[in-house]
Amino acid sequence: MNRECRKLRADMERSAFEPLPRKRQDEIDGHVGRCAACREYLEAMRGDERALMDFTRSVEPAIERIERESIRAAACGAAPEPDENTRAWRGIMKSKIAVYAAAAVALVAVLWGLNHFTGLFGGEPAFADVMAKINAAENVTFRQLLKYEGSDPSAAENMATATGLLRTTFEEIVIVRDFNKGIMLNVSPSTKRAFLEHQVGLKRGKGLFNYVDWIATLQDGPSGKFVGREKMDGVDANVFVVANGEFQTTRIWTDPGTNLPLRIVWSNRHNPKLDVVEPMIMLYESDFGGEKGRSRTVIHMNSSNGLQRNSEWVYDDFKWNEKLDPALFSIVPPKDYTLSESRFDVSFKGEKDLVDALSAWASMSENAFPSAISDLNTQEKVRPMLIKKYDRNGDPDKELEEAMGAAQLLLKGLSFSQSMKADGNWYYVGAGVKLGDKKAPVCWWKPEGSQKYRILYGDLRVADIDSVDLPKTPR
Amino acid sequence: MDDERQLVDACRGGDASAYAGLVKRYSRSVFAVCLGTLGNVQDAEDISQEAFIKGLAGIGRLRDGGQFGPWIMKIARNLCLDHARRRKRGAEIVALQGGDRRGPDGEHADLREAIARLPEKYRLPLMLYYFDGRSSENVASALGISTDGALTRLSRARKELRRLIDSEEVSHE
Repeated sequence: MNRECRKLRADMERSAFEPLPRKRQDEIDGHVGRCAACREYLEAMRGDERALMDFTRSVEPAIERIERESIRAAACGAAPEPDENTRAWRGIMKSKIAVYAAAAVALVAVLWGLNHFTGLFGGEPAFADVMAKINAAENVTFRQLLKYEGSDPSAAENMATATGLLRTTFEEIVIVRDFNKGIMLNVSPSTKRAFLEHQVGLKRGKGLFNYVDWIATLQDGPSGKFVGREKMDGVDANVFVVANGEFQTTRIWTDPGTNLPLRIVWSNRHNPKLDVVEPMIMLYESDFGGEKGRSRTVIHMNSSNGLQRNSEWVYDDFKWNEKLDPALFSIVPPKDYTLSESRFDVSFKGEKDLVDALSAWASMSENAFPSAISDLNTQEKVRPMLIKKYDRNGDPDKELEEAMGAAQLLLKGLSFSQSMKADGNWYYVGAGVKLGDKKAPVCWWKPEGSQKYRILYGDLRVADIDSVDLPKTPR
Repeated sequence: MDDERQLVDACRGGDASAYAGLVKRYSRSVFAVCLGTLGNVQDAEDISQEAFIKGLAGIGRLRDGGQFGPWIMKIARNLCLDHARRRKRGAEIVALQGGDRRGPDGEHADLREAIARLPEKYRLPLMLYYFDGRSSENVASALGISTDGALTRLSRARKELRRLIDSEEVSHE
């Protein structure tokens, strides 16, 4: 082992707990490919990780017992300590008669407790157990069926690993995502084309699988409520319901033996408070001189409070902890495919996203702001503007990517406005305002928990403002 | 966090059922603290339960309902330290009576043994990481150290654990 090995191994150890910068990870991967000793070291590290995960799983019953017994004890009479007045009463308890009398009271309390708290320990399954099982899993494969009101249903097959890899097969398209490296590979066998997207600012979050949409929904929302049992796949499945806000409901059927999901239905109702909750812009390669009939779409699915149309997402055919071939998650494009690459900043920067979006819009519309904020997503308006700015009769691929980047910018700003609008704290008055007008307000909003509003002026300056000082708005 | 405050308030008002929500929210963190401090699954399970019962009894003294997590973990940690002191005294008596030291049986015996032998400064962050969300930020916050410090301890812990397992395998051969 030389000095380079020693240094790389220190970083390899660290990478077990936090993803390394991409460049460093690539260096390690390259070195491991050349150095047999470090390869062996890496294998040993992976073995340790598996052993620790196995160990974590093996003590799950102990954690379940802690919960059950602590809850049982709480329900059966353990109680918050009394205040000063009742402490004086406790002194009387020292006499024998008082102790016997207290025993009778305790018995009543236990019986009452049993009656009152049956739901806690008397056989009702706990949703936390389901989440614990999901979070302890190594991988999962499942089918996803998306049913949008007014559209044909579409199905996809998915494989996800706790290490942050996701493979989705949709018709003939295969999409592989590495959430640690922020890379998405999209492969189309029929056209022999591959797209490699580098996503900058991607945050994976804390949970193991929280990049899988339905798991993130279950983790972020309130705990699931047990609502009964239903027959499914030959078993009496436990049924839980999670209501995430007014417009989203998730229903989960779990196997009572394994506590793992058998089926999940995520229902979204249209939220009338929002004008655009699923921002989307579609561009065609032919818009920039490329081949006809091929489109690229930018979508922002950042809503946690309903979607634009009523929809239902069904997840089923679950298989947990199966042996998956690592090659299925390769992010190396096939050699004989035509490759296009893009780089998107997918981070959320709050009000800066809005400023950037309005700035981008004004730069494409002779310094005017949109007449309504939903214009940022209006295909008929956005597409011609993007074509006008980015179609320079150059490389169609490159121009399309630039236009997609601008579309992304517009949608991020729109997402911010909609999140403010959902709380009823948004007002837009940008119609007719020109970029650079220092005095003309464009929009204002009240951030969650803030006493003051934020106001954006025509020169893209954002300032605090008291509600009494807000501009007058037409009723 | 507001939800947590509501649960704490409900418990203070005598609603024992609200305590279930708090137990479920923090069972893994408390277990991680106990296992990290004591190094023994059985002891960690017992002390975790004791911590939750003690927590309910003392919840009236918790000033900020939003701080239930750190508070219950502190209770667990203090109980563990008391337990470790008692165990040490007990072990001395057992030693005088000629008792032997028994290793763990069953699944993951080597790993459990190695975890038990790992110095606490490494074991605690490692257990917090694996039982409490697998996040170095969580570990740093629970231990009151920087994320960088947590990452250093975690990687050293893994290295030391491997050394202990290897030495255990050698001694078994």
